[in-house]
Amino acid sequence: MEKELVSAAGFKTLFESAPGLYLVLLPDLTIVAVSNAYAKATMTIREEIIGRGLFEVFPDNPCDKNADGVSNLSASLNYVLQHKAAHTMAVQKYDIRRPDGTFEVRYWSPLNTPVINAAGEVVYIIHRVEDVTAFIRLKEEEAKSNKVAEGLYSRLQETEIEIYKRSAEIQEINKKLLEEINERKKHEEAIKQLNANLLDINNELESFSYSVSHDLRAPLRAVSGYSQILMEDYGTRLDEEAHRVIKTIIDNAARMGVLIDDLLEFSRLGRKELIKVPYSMHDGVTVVRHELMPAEGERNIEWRIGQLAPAMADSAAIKQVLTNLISNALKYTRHKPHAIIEMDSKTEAGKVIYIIKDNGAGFDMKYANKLFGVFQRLHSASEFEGTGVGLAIVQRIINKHGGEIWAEAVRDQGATFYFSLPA
Amino acid sequence: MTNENIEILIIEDNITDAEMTIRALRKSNLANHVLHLKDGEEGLDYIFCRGKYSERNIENCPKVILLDLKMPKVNGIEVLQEIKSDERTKSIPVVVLTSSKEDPDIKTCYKLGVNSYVVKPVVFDSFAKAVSELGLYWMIINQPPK
Repeated sequence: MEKELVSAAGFKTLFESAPGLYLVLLPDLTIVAVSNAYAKATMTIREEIIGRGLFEVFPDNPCDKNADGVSNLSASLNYVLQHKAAHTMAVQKYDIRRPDGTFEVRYWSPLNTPVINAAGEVVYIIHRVEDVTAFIRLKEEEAKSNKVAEGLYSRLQETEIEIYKRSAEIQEINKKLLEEINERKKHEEAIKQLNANLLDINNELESFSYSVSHDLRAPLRAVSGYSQILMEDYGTRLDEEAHRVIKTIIDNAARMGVLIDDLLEFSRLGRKELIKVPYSMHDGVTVVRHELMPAEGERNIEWRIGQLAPAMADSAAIKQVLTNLISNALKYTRHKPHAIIEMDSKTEAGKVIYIIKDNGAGFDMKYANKLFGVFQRLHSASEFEGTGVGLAIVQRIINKHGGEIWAEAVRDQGATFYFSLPA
Repeated sequence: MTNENIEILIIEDNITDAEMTIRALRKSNLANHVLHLKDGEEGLDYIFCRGKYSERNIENCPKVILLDLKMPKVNGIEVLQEIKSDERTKSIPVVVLTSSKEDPDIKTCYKLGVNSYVVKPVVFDSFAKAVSELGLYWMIINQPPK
């Protein structure tokens, strides 16, 4: 008989100390042996589990609804029993019970191997596991990070798509803006051109007026002058009719001169820029009165000047307005024994309305719309002299200030003129 | 021509205006020593004793120059400028007698030192009156430098 190298007790110790997680089962799944490592890993004590049923000692975690440790292990062990062959299980989550009864998550990689006797029957099943909990944990963490990374990546992709979309939109908008800028530039160019044209036209008008003013006057002076010379040098040899004819020539030349002056004044008005300043209408009226009165000589004129509010106006232009209106009042009251000229003002929303009233010849309201027309007159030259430009000039000035002018009258009783100016 | 003492020099391109001016002066007995020149060039030649007036004595100044503005070749402004910028001639009284009452012209003339600016009236009566008053003033009332 060979001497045994390792005793039975020795094998027991060897088995129990083996570096591996081993659990030995009977075919009826009773636990008969367990390695130290296994007991340690499962937090069990050998003495407490030997002789007990596998699933009694290692049940599923009741809190885990999806626990399939028992069923899977059971199936694997049945396989081993039936086929008398080893069976490797997939990594299995099989929570183990702590001494205090709570369960701890564990992942195992089990291998179930049959031990077959000489008769070919399975006498033991060796259940060997690798505790892969840490590994699984790592994988879970990895999966989690991957999931986070994936999440981030898809967010990134979405954001990229958004950015792309927005970029496309911005590009569209930029294009439109550029087009608009080009349009604007074109318009600005057009306006610049128009302005240049206007300036040209203005300059042309300026030199036209200058020519008219100068070149028309000289021959006119000659007509008037030589007619006069004719009278002076040959008057004694001419009869009354000849005198009348010559006088007509002279008078008409004079009238033409006045017409030229008035027309020029009218055209000059349109081109002048207004410089609006706070204007005292009261002072303006006083100055104009003193300028016009000497020409009236001894006349019975009553002035009723009320409170005249100030306005924002170009002082030279408004002086012209006052001169024309007041001289009209003086002119058309010439045949009244007692002339009354009144002036007043009233302030309304944002504007001042001035009133000048006389008790002179007045005019027929039927023709009121002609009152401010250029060269339009409502009286004949024999009744009252004038070229018919005075009121046209006044209207032009008032309109340029942003105001309005209108009038009422009754024939032979008088006329009232109203004009408004911004306050 | 060299020794004739011209008192009133009229520089005017318009014949009828010149004629009416001289007539008005004559009526006031001021036309004895009047010379009418028809353009600015001739006017300057006379005043500065150039060209056909080179024999003239420059110190023999007229008592007043009646000067029109709008003239061909050399216009009134240029004549005025030359007269008033030369020491020998700048104290000769110059009266601009013109149709133009345009502001820029008036301003320019005064800036150049014109003594008086008169706008020719269209109506002859007023014109004649203006000329004779003018003549009387510069010939009789005003004191020229020696």
